[in-house]
Amino acid sequence: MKIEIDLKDFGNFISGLKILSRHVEEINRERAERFKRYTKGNVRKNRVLLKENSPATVKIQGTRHRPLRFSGEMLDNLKCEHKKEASIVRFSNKKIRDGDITYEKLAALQESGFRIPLQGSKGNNVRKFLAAHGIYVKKSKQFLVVPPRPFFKRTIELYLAAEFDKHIIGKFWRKYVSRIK
Amino acid sequence: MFQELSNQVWSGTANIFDNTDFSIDGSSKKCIFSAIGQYVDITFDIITLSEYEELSLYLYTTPRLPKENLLTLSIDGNDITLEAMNKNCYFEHILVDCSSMGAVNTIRFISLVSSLTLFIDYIGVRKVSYKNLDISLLQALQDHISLDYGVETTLSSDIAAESKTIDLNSWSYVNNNTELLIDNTEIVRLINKGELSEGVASAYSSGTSVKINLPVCLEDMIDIAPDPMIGICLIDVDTDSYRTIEYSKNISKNKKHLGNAVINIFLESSSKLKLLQLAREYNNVYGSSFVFLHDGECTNMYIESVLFIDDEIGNIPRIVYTYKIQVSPITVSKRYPITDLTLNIKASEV
Repeated sequence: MKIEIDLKDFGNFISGLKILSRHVEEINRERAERFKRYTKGNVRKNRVLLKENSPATVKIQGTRHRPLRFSGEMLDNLKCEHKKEASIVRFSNKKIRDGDITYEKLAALQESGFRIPLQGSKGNNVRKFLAAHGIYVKKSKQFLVVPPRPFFKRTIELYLAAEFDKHIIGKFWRKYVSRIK
Repeated sequence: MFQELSNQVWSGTANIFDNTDFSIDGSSKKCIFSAIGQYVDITFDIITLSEYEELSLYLYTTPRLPKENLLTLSIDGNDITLEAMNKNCYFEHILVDCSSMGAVNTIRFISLVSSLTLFIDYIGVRKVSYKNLDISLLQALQDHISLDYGVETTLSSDIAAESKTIDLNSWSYVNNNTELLIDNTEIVRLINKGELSEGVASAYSSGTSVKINLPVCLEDMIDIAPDPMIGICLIDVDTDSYRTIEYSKNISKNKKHLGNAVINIFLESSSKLKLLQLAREYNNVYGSSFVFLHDGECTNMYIESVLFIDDEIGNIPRIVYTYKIQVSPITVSKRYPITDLTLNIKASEV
């Protein structure tokens, strides 16, 4: 969006900003919805270049499974919350299907990566779970390692680089402020 | 990639002192010249300079009013004059392009003034290439980050050399894959409480001190990573690039930054209490920004975000600090000063 200001029209420009400020809630709503759609699209088309699934995950989930769809379609639980002050894009606080953690926590795990021990009492439970899916891990293997898949951080970077917010604000400027000219 | 000159021996007609209260890497040399022509020689293991790109060092002199030539740096037959540095009350980073110099084992500093106090520190050579851009960054961080897990105990019984069995007086905060430092000399790793992954190299007697080690591991530690640990991994690379000009003392160069690296530094421990303790120490020592030595330079790291991951699904609790940092630039081209310029002017016919 480009704004050319003529000193003579400066007063009109200030009035335009005041008009736009009355539509901030609407602008934020559109920005949030845009970002949500962009995030889902990026992951589904793998524009964020996530690490491929391990052979164990492929065996449990199938070859058509993609990263981040595990445990109840995490992407489908990416929601927008609209308030007067701001619109927030976040993962749901609902618990995942067949699990004890929320989608929000699951998303955080994707950003950070994690390790699950395969030794001790915790490790025995993990080994039983894997064995139930026909996966037998070497006795000497210490950890299941899930590397970070920082899809959210990457999407934010791509979104900012594409300047979508600028286009949205430009659209609202043309819709509401151009009237005063 | 940066490599300090090894086995340095300092000598000369100037007075030379060790100094630890003003330095880049913990210790520097203070050289006091009291006459023109006095010098300091640094000899070191022979090195072929043409295999590197730049000689890098830090110098400090007290500010002077006149802008004068203070000293000569002599290396491989090249004499480089250094003028008064009066900008800050801190070291100035000096670069000398050495890509066309030969094998050397000596550098000489010669005073050009009758009275000069000079601090010299962190001398080495460096070369930045596509191959070592990222790995040198990760290794520099690995060398810099250090925390204290703060748990110590003793052996409850003797261990024979090559034995894989160990017994401690206290197993508090010792996890299945913990690394142990025995007698401040040998690092071993548990695979279960009481069993080591490999036999100990030496015998130890009951009562020998055993500390919980907190290693700093790079990305390829994966399966055998200990618990607790500090991990450093590169999680993203962006493609923003921009050009810059870097000035060496004998040449200037057009360089290009090839994007930022996004790095996770994470603390991990099965004991959440200990993890929180480490996190508080990390926040105090490193926190939202810190400086570390990388490719011969003092480099700043700034935090992007912090994430605390509880043991939700049987995973080990982890706290992750994410940083974005610009990697060292590569040289695109060199700019040589014009020393001789000949103009032939022809009179035109009228």
